Amino acid sequence: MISDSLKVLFFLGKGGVGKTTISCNTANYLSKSKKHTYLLSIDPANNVFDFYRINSKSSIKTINEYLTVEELHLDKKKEEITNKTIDSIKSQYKYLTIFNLENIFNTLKYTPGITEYICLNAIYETYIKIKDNFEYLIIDTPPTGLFIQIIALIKNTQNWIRELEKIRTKLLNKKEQLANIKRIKSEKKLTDNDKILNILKEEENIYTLLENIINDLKTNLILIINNDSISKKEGLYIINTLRELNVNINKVIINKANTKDIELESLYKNYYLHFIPNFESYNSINLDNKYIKDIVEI
Amino acid sequence: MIHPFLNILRGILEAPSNLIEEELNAYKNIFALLIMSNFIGLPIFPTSLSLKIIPYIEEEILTMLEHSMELDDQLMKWIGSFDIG
Repeated sequence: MISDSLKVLFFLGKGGVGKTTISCNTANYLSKSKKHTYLLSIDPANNVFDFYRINSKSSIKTINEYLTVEELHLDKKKEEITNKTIDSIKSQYKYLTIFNLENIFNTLKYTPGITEYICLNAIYETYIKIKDNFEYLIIDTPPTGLFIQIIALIKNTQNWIRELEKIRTKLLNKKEQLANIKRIKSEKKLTDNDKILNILKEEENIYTLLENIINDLKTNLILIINNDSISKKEGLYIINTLRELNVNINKVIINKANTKDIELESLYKNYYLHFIPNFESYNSINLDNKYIKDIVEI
Repeated sequence: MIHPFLNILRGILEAPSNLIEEELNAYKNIFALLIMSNFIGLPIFPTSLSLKIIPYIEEEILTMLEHSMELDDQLMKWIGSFDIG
């Protein structure tokens, strides 16, 4: 179920445009305004703890009463998933010899889709965990390619769940027909208590919630670009690709931009542009609140 | 006198059940193939779903392996199914 109060902000864009810096500054601004804020980084680069100068093995850290930050430890998560699957197989299968388990699951780390799944799962679990206690969830996303694949995985998985449900139902119907012919009576219909159909239904609920989170009115997808030609083009690529997946960007931030330019304004004419200037003199990663205030006003 | 009728009845019951069994095995085979696709070099299916489902498809995997062993002799398999010869 979608929360009535939790607002979600996704910061996305090309690598190095300032997603982490703006995510952390937004989180700081909100927590200073006494809004309970949870900052989740699903970027494998893991820079959020560096921003807060945290040196901790734990993936979650409470910064103050109003701010909690979490970094996703991909390798650890991959290991957890592999071990969980192997344990589950060992407990379910009678003939373990049909699998060369170790060899198959050693490649799991590099299997396409696993990183995207871990990122989506982190968003889902965090949302469920904090939806009643926090007002803002800020998500620092990985660079363009991976983020688009994460979003695409939602639709892809939903389509496959539907197809699998159809095949599984046909399979169970055949089983039932066979049982009827052989006069094996069962009290319950096979489709009512099939473990796999139940798993598919659970997964369907998870992916529907993820889709609802992305499309919710309280969710903002904020694109960050720099004022250079590559970044501008990539920004448009992100907007168009996400549109194909029925996901819309809500705001565009031009980071490290000293002057407004006409080309930029015409390229992004459908969006309200927020400019955050590049201060030559400052070495600090803390931005002035006046530039952050606009971002969070939904 | 009752034996011939029983045999006919058994024949009537067995013929469709063989075919349904074949269909069932085909569904099991395709189901296992889809779930295992990522591990056999066809990255078309979400890995996350595979990992959730793999622990519960032992029966389907065994059918898939059996099926792959019979691939060389599909003609004889179908002839057998229709009880020809």
